[in-house]
Amino acid sequence: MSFTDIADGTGTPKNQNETDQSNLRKDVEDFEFTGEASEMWPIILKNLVFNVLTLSLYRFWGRTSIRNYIWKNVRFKGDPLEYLGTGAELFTGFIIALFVIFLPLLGIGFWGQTLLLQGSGFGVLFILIAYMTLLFLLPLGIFRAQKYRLSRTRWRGIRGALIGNGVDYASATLGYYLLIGLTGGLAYPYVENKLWGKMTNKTRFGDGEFSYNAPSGPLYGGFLVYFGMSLIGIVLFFMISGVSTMSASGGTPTVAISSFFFGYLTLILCMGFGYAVYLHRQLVHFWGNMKYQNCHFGFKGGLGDMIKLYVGNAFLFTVTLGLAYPITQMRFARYVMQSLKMYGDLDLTAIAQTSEEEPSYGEGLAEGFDMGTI
Amino acid sequence: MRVSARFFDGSSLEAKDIHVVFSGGRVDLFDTQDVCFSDYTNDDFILRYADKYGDRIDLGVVGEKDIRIIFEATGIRSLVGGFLPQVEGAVHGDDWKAATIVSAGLVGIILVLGILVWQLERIVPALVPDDTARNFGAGLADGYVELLGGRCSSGAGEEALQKMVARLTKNNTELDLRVQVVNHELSNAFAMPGGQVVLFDGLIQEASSAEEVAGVLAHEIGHEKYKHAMRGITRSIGIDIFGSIFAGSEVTEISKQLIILGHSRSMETEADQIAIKILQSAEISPIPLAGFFDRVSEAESNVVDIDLAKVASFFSTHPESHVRAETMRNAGGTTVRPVLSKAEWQAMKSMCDTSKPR
Repeated sequence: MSFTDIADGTGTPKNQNETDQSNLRKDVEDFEFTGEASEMWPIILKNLVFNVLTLSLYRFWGRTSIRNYIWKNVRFKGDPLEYLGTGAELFTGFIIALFVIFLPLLGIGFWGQTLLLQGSGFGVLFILIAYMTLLFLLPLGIFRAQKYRLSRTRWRGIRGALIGNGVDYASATLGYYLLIGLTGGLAYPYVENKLWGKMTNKTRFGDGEFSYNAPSGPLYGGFLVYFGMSLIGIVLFFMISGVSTMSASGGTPTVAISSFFFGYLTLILCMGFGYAVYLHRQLVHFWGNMKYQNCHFGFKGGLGDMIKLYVGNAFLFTVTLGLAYPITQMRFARYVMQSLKMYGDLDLTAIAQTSEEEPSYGEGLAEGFDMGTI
Repeated sequence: MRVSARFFDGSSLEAKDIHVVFSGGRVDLFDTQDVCFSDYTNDDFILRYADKYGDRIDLGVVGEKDIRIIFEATGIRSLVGGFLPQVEGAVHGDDWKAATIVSAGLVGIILVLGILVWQLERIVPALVPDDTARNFGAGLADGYVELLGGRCSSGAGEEALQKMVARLTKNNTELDLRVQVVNHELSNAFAMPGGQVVLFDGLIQEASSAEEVAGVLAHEIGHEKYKHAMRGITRSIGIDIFGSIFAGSEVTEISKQLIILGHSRSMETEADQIAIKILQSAEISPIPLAGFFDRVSEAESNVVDIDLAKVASFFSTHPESHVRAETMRNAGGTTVRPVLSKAEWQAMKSMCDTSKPR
């Protein structure tokens, strides 16, 4: 048995492997994103071909390919993430959710309608039960999908986890959305903040814990901008399109239509800008106040870059009739990874594998609701 | 061959520096003290990651999900590939070949499920007990009748109706029919599960003779004889369930409608065939039924121009009316006896007079 010492692939025997390695592993940012649209397109086209051939059943495997690509192009301290989920897991999860949850619920709803038609008041009860269950299942689906994705995400062999079955998360969400309704939307930033915290505080990587306890107060500045911009937009809309209505008696219909169009465009732009300001504040607030073990995160992405990203994504999505959806997701991932910073000394030796069990199947509930997850 | 690498085993995120020695079929891992701490052969390793330059590969171990061995050096992929051929293959197996295999399996599943759903309407209606179907249908029929304007049941008219039903079913006594007239102006009729037939008063009013009503009734009896309503419901539910596994609700909804249309037209034709037999054996001429179809045909062509009517009939649940009228005229009959007396026909026509105004 003869050993040939090789480190650089040239076959030259050498002993200083370590120095050679550090040459390859240059100065790295904590978070990096290396994906390219040019590499994503072949995957999208492959998925398209097989989705057509299988009348869309291939979509579970297609989504897995897309995730594989996005995950492996996210790097933390120079090492890539791995996505270990499979198409078969997603498919099985979907079929189980379909037959155990969605079709029975559909049956209950259908039976309720039949009872109503036959003149029995019990029908209302059946339909109500079906709808309430669906309302509860929606946030539960979001939680379970996140749990599956985290459990299939590995970095340096260690995986993520989301603690619990999500029932408390789903019930809390129902209550919170009732609150949004009762406050005429004013509770929206508060609720989003609470839900982000609930999810984050259940998130693990290995046996290390994420935490988030920030108050929702700082979000209200952005929310006020959104609210104000919407108001301004509505006023401008009435001013621009209203002028034409006044002159419409004497003016032409073309003028009326075009001024209505410009008024509407102004409204959309105002609201869109206001929402972007809020969304950006939310990103900065959510990520900036998140902690992992003793380290905390920061979000350095600018508002201008985010608006450019969203406008670009909307354009890409529209001109490709939705085909570029994974690319818009990838662009978002790039924006987040380039903006994300980590502060503090992370003790890597202290993190071991999580003891949380992996779910066997993926995302059936979310798929049933047709949520556009990547 | 001896290569340096970073090693992770789930106990920490900090790498352990190791040396990996490939020789023969064995792969041995040595720690910094040069002590071998593993017992692996070539087949134990799978490729978890490879960069696009061939300068980095991450290996995993079959059955030990947490382990990663990371090699980084120029050309390392082809180098290790000389010992572990799997390293030269695709990561995760999501290449075109894997996709083809998966898709072939999926097409197989679609075919098997499709055939199963296709056969469902032959199996399920036969399995539903008559009593269950009757109760289910009665509830539905009564609900619809109530919704549409209420049941008409003046004594003499009801007797005339039952006389007509008895005449038509004398050769099909196994059919447990329940026919009712609903107080509604539309010229229509339908057959629900379990022998539930509903005639619209509008149809009786527009009919030029009792024979015409008998013809329509014979057609609905045809539906009952073949349990078409139950088959239709089974098919609709079957297609709904089958269709729900596919994405894109609009596309599946359109295909579902097309399949249901095709089927329901073949059921209409089937019911027409039976109607002719029923009418002939009851010594009633099918020609008045042709008159009914003529009227429907005329109404169709009045609504839209002929080309549009052709398009519409392509998407209709029923075959083209003038074709059906022709079928009835060609059928003819041998001996013919009137189905109702003048007085009975009058009684039937005024059945809904005493009901509340619609």
